[in-house]
Amino acid sequence: MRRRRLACVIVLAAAAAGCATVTTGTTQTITVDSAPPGADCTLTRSGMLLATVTTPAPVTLKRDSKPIHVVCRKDGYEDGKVVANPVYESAAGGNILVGSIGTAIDASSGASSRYLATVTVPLTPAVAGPPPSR
Amino acid sequence: MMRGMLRTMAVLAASVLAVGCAITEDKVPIDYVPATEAAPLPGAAGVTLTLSATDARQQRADRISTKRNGYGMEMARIVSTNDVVALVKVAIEREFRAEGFGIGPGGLAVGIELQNFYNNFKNKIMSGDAEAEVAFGIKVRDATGALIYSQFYSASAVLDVQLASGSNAKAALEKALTAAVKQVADDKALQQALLSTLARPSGRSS
Repeated sequence: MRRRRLACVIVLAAAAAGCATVTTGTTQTITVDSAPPGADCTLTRSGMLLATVTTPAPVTLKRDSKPIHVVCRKDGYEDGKVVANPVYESAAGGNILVGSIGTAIDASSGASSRYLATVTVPLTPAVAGPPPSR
Repeated sequence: MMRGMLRTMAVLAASVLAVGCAITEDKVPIDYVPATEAAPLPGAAGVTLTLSATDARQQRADRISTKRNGYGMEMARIVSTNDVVALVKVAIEREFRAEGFGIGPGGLAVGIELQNFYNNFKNKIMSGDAEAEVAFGIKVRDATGALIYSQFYSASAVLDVQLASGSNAKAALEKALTAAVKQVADDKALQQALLSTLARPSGRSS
């Protein structure tokens, strides 16, 4: 009887909190790199600045369903940009056991999405000429 | 007899589920819907642009969206029946034409790099969101290959939807594309950079 009650409490807690929110958390660390390295990069999402780093560098950020824009600048090179789209966090699959409330919570907390572990921004050498206007 | 009927019904139900919409790839055409008609710019007729477009998407280049089931799990791909890289080029080309620029070979090189063309479905309790984003960069080079203008453009669109379907992805992406291309049409610095080449030999029509 106690075991059943405990199992019920665990299932309800997981459902209330969202499966991936509990098991994998709502943040993750990605590595921002550039080719060549040593570029100053800014990470933005929905127009909001997330971080500014010099490559290569790890960045811890909140997970979300929206893409991240990584813009890198380095002397002698043209600006480079990569958009990192989130992919599905497989840990959120556990919501099959706890129902759609868990799914909605994971979606709103961002835990059902994750970004790829490394984002590499390719940079093209600049051709000599007048400085570009931006 | 009863068991046999139940078994048949189970097989039929499984077959229906197996070809159900979530696991079958959806193919939709994506169109460009112009926001407004741009007015011709004085002097633009004297500048010829040579547009090219490349696919710089590092992720999700094989699709424009992904279906999701009720638990948010990614299912089948949603793909475009037309080339979205070419579509973005045609959309931008249309706006340059409307502004009066000449389009053809031998002009200023306008390179378009598509960085994102993707719609992400987000599950909510009773419905969902279609979150689309279109992002690209434009680099303008003169005859020597020197960069004279560079800018990134991106726009997103969010629609409240019931189904993670191709038609909903299409609607969100077309809205985002319209907004992103409008940013190009409204970019006064880009227009100035293009018109300023009138003084240079490489900016003139051949």
